[in-house]
Amino acid sequence: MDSDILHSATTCFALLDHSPIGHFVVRRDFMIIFWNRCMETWTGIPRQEIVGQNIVDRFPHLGEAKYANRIRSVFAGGPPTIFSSQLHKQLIPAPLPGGKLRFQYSVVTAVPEQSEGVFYALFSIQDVTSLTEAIENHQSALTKAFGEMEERKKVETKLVKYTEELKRLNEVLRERSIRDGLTGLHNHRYFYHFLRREFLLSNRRTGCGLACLLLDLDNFKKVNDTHGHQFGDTVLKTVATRIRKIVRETDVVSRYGGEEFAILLPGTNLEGALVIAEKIRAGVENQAFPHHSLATGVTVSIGVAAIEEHRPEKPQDLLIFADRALYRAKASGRNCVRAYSEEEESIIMI
Amino acid sequence: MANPLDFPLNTLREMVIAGMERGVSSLNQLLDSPVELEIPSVTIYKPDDLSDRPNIFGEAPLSCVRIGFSGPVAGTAFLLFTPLSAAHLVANLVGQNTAASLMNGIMTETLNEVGNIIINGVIGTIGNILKQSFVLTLPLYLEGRLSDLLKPEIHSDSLTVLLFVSARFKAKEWMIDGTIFLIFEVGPGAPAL
Repeated sequence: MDSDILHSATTCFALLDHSPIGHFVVRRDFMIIFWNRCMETWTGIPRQEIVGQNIVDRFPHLGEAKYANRIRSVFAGGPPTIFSSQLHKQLIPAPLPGGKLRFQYSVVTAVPEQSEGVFYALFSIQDVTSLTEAIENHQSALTKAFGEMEERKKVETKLVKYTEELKRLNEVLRERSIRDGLTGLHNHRYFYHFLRREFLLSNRRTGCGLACLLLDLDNFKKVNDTHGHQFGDTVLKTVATRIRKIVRETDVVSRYGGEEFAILLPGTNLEGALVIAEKIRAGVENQAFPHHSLATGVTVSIGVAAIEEHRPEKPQDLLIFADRALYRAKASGRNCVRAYSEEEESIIMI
Repeated sequence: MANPLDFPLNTLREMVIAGMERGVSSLNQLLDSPVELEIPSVTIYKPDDLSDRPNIFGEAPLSCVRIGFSGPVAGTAFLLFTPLSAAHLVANLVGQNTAASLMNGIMTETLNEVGNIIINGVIGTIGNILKQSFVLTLPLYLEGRLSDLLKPEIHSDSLTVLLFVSARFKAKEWMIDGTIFLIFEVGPGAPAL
């Protein structure tokens, strides 16, 4: 009886031999009753070998619930069922000449048998290998592009980090280039820069004064010789801190030389500068150095010059005037403040 | 002949939910990481609801699988997703990243199979309950605004009822909002819902 059915199925579905896609027909007991020429070519399995066999015996994966249940619904006359190449790759292994298996898009359709309510399952398999490979190639290009983008992002992040680090190091270098390493005060170079700037500004803003204090530690060589250079450094640092506490935030205190300090007081006339100078002098005189008993305390001599009263022509002149005043303070016995006098460069005592 | 629209809304709702559950159960047999289903709401619209409020479903383009059916009642079923939800679902199913899943070939084939499974489940279950059989077309993947997708399906010479089933698929870490639209076309003499 089966051979009759198989013969009649071959006749009935003969038209499908001319189709360029793979077709085969399965009976509700999962027996293959038709296998078209295309399937023969793709799989290498001749019709006479496979027809009459149970499809699950031949292709065991089709017995899994995910296939068998959906195929059974077709035998009940259910709607067409699709097995996509994306989710299944292939329904029936069909190798290409190179050995790779064809990707398949398969549709299983119910075909009525002669008896009412009984259906065959017609499998129609489309070879979508080229399309799938094109998608895969596109996908790998996309993945590569995403990878490159990711890599680029990483490099950019690194670059931003390096730029920030460079900025920070530049800031450190800039600070170091304008600061004195021992006292932390601005250095000689920055002092000149600031002097030139403030000199120009005060010339432009009439009535806006600028004063300069030059300060030298008295007998510092003796302090160094007696108590050592380490203590000498402590004295310099302590005096620097003391001065910073006395002057305003906006005043520029710099270490001018070994034991010399220069202080610029923007917006200050001679009278105001002398008051500040005296505060500094007294402050240093009264400064305690707890770990060392000095036979004589640390004192400073200060020379003062101001642009409003002394009218220097250029920034350097203001400094020269302050230096001459300092010289006079030293000559007057040290530990005192002297202002520069324009009249024949005579020094007045305050 | 029994017609799904002869049933009260609650019964119809139960039929659709049972169908979707059947569809998702079939879908899960395919997957390593199962998809969970929630059905927050079932709503019924008449064509006038759409013409009165043309933007009721928004203007954003949607990814859609369309399957026509005929039997005791004819109509069209749509499974709809926002493109991003569709990409997330496909990525989850095929194990690709979301960006790769946006590619047309992958999206079309995979969503066609998903639509086929879910809509077959829904219509098949309604048919089983009614002891009636439906003939379904092969799925067709479409993209566009909902109003444009629905326009060819709503005919002025017949009474059309739109059953809107909001569904939520939970796949791995994603909540994927999807919608099933069932459009039933009934003759003028058919009982209205």
